[in-house]
Amino acid sequence: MTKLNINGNDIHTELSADTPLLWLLRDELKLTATKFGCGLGQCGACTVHVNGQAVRSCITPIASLSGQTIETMEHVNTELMTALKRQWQVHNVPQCGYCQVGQLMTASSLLNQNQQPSIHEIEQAMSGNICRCGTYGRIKTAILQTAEQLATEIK
Amino acid sequence: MSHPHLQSRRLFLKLTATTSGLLFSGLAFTAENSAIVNRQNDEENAAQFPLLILHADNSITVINTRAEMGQGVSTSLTQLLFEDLDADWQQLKTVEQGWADDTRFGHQNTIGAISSLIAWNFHRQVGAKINLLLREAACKVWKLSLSEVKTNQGVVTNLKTGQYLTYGQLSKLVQTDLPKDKLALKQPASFSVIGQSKPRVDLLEKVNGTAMFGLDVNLPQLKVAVVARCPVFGGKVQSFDATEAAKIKGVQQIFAVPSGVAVVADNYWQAISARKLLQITWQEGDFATVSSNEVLAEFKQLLDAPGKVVKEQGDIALLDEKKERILTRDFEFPLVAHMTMEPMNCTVWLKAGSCEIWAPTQNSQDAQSSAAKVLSLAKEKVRVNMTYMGGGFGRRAQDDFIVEACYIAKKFAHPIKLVWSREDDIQHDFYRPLNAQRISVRLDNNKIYAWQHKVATYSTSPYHFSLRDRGTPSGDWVAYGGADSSLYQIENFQTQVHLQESPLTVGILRGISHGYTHFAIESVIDELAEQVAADAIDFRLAQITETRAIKVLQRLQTRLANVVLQDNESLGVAFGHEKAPSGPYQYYNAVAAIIERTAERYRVKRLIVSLDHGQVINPDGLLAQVQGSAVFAVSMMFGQAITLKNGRIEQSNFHDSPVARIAQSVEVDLLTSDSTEWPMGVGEKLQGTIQPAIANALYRATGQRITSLPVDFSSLGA
Repeated sequence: MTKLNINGNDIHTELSADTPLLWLLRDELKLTATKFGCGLGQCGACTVHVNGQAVRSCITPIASLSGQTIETMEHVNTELMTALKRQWQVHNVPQCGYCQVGQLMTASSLLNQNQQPSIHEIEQAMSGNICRCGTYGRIKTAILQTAEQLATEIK
Repeated sequence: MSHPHLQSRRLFLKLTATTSGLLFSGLAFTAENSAIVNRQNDEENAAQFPLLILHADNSITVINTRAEMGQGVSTSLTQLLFEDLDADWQQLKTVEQGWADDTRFGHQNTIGAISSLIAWNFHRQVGAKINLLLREAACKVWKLSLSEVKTNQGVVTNLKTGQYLTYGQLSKLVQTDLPKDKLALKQPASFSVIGQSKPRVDLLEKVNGTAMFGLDVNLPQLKVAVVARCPVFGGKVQSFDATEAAKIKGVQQIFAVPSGVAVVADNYWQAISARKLLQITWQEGDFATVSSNEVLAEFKQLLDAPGKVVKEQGDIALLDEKKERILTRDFEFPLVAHMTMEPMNCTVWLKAGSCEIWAPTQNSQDAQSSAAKVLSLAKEKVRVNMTYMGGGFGRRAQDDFIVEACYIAKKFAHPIKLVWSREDDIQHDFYRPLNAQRISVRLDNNKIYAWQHKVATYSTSPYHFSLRDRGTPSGDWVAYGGADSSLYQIENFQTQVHLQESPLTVGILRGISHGYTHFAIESVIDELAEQVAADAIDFRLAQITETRAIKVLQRLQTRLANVVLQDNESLGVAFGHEKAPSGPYQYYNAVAAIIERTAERYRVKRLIVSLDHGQVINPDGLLAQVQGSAVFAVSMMFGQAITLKNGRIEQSNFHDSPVARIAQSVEVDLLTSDSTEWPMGVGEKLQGTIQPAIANALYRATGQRITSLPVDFSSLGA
């Protein structure tokens, strides 16, 4: 049995210890905002927050997460995420939308650590998140504008 | 945040937080899936029409009947519907994804960028007819004739008294059988919804993660299935031993299906873990010795032999006449995989005498027919619900994953969800076929005098997405289309093809054959322009008479006059079009690509795109499609190379088949026309223009013609 804390709730699961977090979230807890894209940590669609950091849930076994705080898009309601989601809508970012939750989870982790990222830093931080529809340009704009907006609010 | 979905999910987590994982299945069903199961809203007083439900509170639920794979049909087609319905955009409550239903929705197969083309008539007619029914209902109330009422933005006004009724107030009075006769539609001058950048209707659910994709479908007692397929195309299972696999906790059943061995378990990880333990002896068949290098070499050889003539005008023998100059150029293109973000999947619930399917499909009606056949049911007994789909690019026009899921579901009274891994998805795709091409052209007085285009590739007919075309000669057009027609005025023109049959599954991919035939054509045109020392756009203009095409090229040329290139930048152009012999299917586009030399390599920096695909329905949605097309082209030219060795695909995931990432995004400068012609989609129609424009820019930078993909930087000195 593995004990985890997911979205503020203590979860006890009897799934095998090697089960990646993604499948506990999706198939057992029905938390489907987190997506399956590659199963190899290559595409970023499965990004969740573990202790506030962006982590690829498709390659993270549940056994390694005991005692850690896990958050998925269903639960992240920080001011930062609200601001990011707003900019994502302002710039009409999604196309198919499948990768966008993963993009947002990575973007929020980036802006948590670096409030004023340069374009280059954004490209670095977001390089693990694939979008086959090619919404990259709009993602960059949305992140930059969120950073700008939050900086203005703090002043 | 008080979004109802989030609330219910939190509540659900609390309730189940202390129980074991396996007890969770199915509990979330009511909260999460009631909307899709009971899609038919039977709300009292609501009026049900083919494409929409008009609620008594004056809000409107729209049913999206065509596949929403990101291209934005849920939004753009709602705009077409609302225009002639004369509804206020504020009335739009939600857009639900539809289901296969040819009698109610007409043609639904979503390929070839034809959604706006079809909806330009279908959706607008439905809108206009409902508008008429609403006016008739109001006339009944007021005892007036149609000339004494008018509609505006969701309201019917009594022209005599100034009184009005909202559409919602008429919802219980309005007739819902649409009149048969075609109605007059609004003129472009009075458009209020068409041509507006309405935000995507699926924005909120796609940013908060509640949008339901095929993989997100959840039902009571749902089990997850995976299939082990023969790595060699055309191979079969000879025998298998599931002893070890069956020991994995959660595994329900392991059995043979036509495509391989199916494993059904409580969750995906259990199923995929068990699949790894299967001992399968495959009957690999003859294809097990085939490699893509050899196939390509064979295709190249075939170009020396006469092929089947599929198009001819004038006298191609004149190619050999001693006119001023001849140019012959060979090209070769590799296999390309779709790699949609969401791998293939399908959920099937077989009940007594009927079946319900949830699938991310571009081709719901053929999926319905194929499923009915496998399940021995009447087509009407199979409901195919369309979910959102994580990309399509032509892959989801195929029915293979739906058929496979149906074979598995036959064994169970409960629903099953077939899930493909990324590896399955890359190694069992319907690839854009590898091909070799040769263009030979004779110039006379600086104009094209004779033109021969040869294409050697795999036959697409046995795998054609459309059941109607599968196995017929017309199923092969997507293997060479684009080579068989030209807007350039060429007196003597011939297209020859060599089409080989093989067990390798091939099909359509964003841009279909035009992606490679237009690549070759536009590269050759560029070379010809250079040979006669003409400007690349002037040279094209001199050979074209189609007015819409000329305007598109001239608009690009005007813009280019103001473009100043940096020392490390180069520019290439290309032109793209299709025009059906009759009917509204036509489009024209022209692209200038600017590439820059960076420290390590060349990078596509910016595209200037001029296009006339008819009336623009949603300008920002159009821009999004062009931006996405640019990134897709970069992936195909610089990243993806799918290769075959010993009858099996060598690549398996994004690490060995890389695609463009955020640092490779491309700036797009879009020039649209003010055309009010019949609209065509754009999503797939730019690959054959953007890619040669980039190739022509690379030539300017390096002095070398790009005649094969992916671009080999080492040979370019980069």
